[in-house]
Amino acid sequence: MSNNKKVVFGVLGVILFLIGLVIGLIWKDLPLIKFVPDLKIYEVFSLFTTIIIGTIYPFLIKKWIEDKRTTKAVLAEEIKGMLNNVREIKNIIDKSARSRINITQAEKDYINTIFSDIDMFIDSFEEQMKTAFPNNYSQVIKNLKEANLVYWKFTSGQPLMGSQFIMTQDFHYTHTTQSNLYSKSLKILIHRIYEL
Amino acid sequence: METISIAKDFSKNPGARYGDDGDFSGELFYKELLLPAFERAINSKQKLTIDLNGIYGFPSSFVSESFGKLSIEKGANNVISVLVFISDENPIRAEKAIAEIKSPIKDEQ
Repeated sequence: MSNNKKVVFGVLGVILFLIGLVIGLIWKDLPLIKFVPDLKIYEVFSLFTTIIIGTIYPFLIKKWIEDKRTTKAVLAEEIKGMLNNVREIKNIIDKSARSRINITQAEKDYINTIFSDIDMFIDSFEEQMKTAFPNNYSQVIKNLKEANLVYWKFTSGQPLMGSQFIMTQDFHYTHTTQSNLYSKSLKILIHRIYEL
Repeated sequence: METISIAKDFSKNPGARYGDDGDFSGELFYKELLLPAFERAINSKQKLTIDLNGIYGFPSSFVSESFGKLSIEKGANNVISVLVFISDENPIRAEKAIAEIKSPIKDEQ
C-alpha cells in the first residue's frame, strides 16, 4: 500500500470515529416520547394538525401559489403580445399621418396580418384561461373579444382599407382614440388576471 | 356539400369593401362566389362550407360586404343554418364572420 493511500485511510478512520462518537452522544441524550395517560384526544389532534400544516404549507400550498403566479405571468405575457401588435398598427397610422403620405397596399395587408396575429393571441389566451381558471374565464374572454371586435371593425371597416383613402387629421385622431381605448382595456385585463 | 376556400378559390389577401377599393373586394367575393354557392346550397338543401384557413387576414369591410350583405339579403338565421365555417388556424376569424352575420352593418363608411 502506498503512503498516499495510508494517509487517506487514516483520515477516513478518524472521521468515522468522530461521527460514531457524535451519534453515540446524541443517542445517549435522545428524549424518549412518552404519552401521558391523561392526555386529551384533542391535544394529540392539535399536535398532529400543527405538524401536518407545518409540512403541507411549504411543500403544497406554497407550490400551488407559485404555480398560480407563474400561470398569471404567462397570461400577462400573452396580453402584452396583443398590446405590442396594437402599438404596431398605431405606428403605421401615426407614420402616415406625420409624413402626410398615404398608407400603401403592403401596409394595409400588413395591418390585416397583425389583426390575424391578435386573433391567434386571443385564441391561445382563451385556451389557457379555460385550463387555469375554468370558473372565471368566460366574462374575461367575452370582454376581450368585444373590445377586439370594436377596434378591428373601426380600423379595417372604415375607408382606410380602400384604395382611395386619404389620411386626414380627423381619421388619425379618431384612430388614436380607438387604439387607446383598446390598449387601456388590455392593460386593465392584466390587472384583472393578477386579481384572479 | 360544397366548399369555398377563400385562400385557394379567391385570395390569400382579401381586399376591402367595394370593387372600386382595389383587388379581391368583399363585393367581388359576394357576387362571384358566395351568393351563387349559397343559392346552390339552398336549392340542394345542403350546407355550404367556408374554409378560412390559409388567408393572411381579412378586413372588417370585406366581411361586412360579403357575409354581412348575405345576412341582410337572405336573413341571419338562414345564413347561420346553411354556412359552416372551418378555421382551424384561427378560430376567432370564424367568430368574427358569425358576429357579422348575426349583426350585419351594411356600410360602415
